[in-house]
Amino acid sequence: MTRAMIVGVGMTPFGRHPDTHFTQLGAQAIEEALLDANMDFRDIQQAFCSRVYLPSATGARVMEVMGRTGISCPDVEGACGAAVASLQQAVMMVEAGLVDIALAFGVEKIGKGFMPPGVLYEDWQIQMGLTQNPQYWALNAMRHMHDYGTTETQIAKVAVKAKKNGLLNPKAFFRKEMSVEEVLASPMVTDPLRLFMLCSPVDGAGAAIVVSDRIAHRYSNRPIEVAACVHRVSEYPLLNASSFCATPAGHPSVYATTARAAYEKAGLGPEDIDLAEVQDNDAFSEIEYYEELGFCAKGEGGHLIDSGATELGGRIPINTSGGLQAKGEPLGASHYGQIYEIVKQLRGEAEARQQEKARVGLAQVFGAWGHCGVSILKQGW
Amino acid sequence: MASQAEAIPFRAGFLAGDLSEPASLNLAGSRCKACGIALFGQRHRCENCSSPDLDHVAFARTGTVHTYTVQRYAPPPPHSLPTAPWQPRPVAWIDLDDNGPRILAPIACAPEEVSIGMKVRAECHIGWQDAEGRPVIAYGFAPLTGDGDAA
Repeated sequence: MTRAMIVGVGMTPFGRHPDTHFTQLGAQAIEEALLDANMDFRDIQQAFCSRVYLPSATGARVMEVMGRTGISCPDVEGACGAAVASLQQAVMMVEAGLVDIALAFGVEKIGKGFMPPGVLYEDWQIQMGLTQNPQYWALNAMRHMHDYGTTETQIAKVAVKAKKNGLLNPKAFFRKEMSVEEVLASPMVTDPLRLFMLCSPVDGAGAAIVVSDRIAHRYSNRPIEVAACVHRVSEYPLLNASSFCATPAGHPSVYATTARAAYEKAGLGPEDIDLAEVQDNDAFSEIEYYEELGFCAKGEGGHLIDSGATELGGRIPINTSGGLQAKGEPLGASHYGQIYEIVKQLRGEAEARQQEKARVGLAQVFGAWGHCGVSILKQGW
Repeated sequence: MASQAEAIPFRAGFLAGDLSEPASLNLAGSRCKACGIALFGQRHRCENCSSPDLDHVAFARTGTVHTYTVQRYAPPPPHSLPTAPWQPRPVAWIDLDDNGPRILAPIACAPEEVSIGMKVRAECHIGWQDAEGRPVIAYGFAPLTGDGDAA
């Protein structure tokens, strides 16, 4: 089978872009990816756009800015997992031999403040006030602390690590170092999660150019192989995520099942992963992903952050980009921010954030209604 | 007194009983005859195993807190909750007794009173009015206090 290779990546700085039209954000990320691949936009045979809060036909609107070459460019929506679903479409088309060059990109423009709840919740849930996104992660955190003795200090350490890495990332939104004490002194939002343990929804765009292995050398001498790109919707029950989905139906969490499918496709296991980007909407969730992605045993996530293994330079650095906590989360573009970081790391272009041994990287996203995705990238040269 | 508009449930198929007497209502849904899973709300097929073979049932009113959080800030509008000033409110995943479903709900108690394993009881009430001015019946939970409190 044809292998899909990433030969170009681009992303805007994630953050507030009040004066930039969303089509311009999309174009900015695509232009960087084209430059990275030394490719002409007219060579692209198929595109997919992901977005969540932006309007219908966002992809086609970006084509208006980039040039109407007549190619297909549908929107792919899947809450915070939207971007992995659009990347998966591009990868599948290349692997199937239907096209040689596909563009996958995501864009979001959401502005400041509460995310409008009507996009994700039913009217009665809004009326009953059950629409604070962080409360779902808080519910998971509280149970994890009860079952495994995970502490608020361990959760705070994840936030501190994210901010430390974000300081080294010029494209991150939040760039300020912070101590465990400062995190623990920030206002409680939804117990046990405090303000500086949470990410912000932001504006931004990201893009990846996916080509067949047959022609990858034309565009890059360091192509990155997409060893796996898997998107899933969770089995019952959703309960907005969490490993405690394991009860009462007995299914593993969607994080675990998606990761397993990706490892299988890649022919790799968690022990082969050199670094990973995960959906740290909140500092606690990262601890849960350590366990569910297989980087440590169930219940050991708190000890893993204590050990320093997930710091830059550690055994399995997580969110070297600063993660969503430092970058912010542009929903439809979020996975492309992760892909950007992993590609840069695997090529040795991550500058101050460069991890010494970076040959295989994993990126994971999770979104409302059970959307989950895992991509595994490896050096393809 | 002017005749009152007829009450409606927050969502059809999620409550069982007489809507004119909210205190008499039970949370309701489906139980799968194939896999045994209980599902909040009357379903078309089982969410767990996709079997169409379901019983539509009323669930026990009592349950146990699986996990909780406390909403320290008012949720995004528009909602039906008092906000002047916002009172921090426990919200929990509750496992209903008799092998019932796990349900997300607010608990009417002080934040320091809620705990994992706490026994609670469902309480239905008029939550808000819909666009036609009809009272909408919503649900919540309260701590289960002494004997004789159970449904």
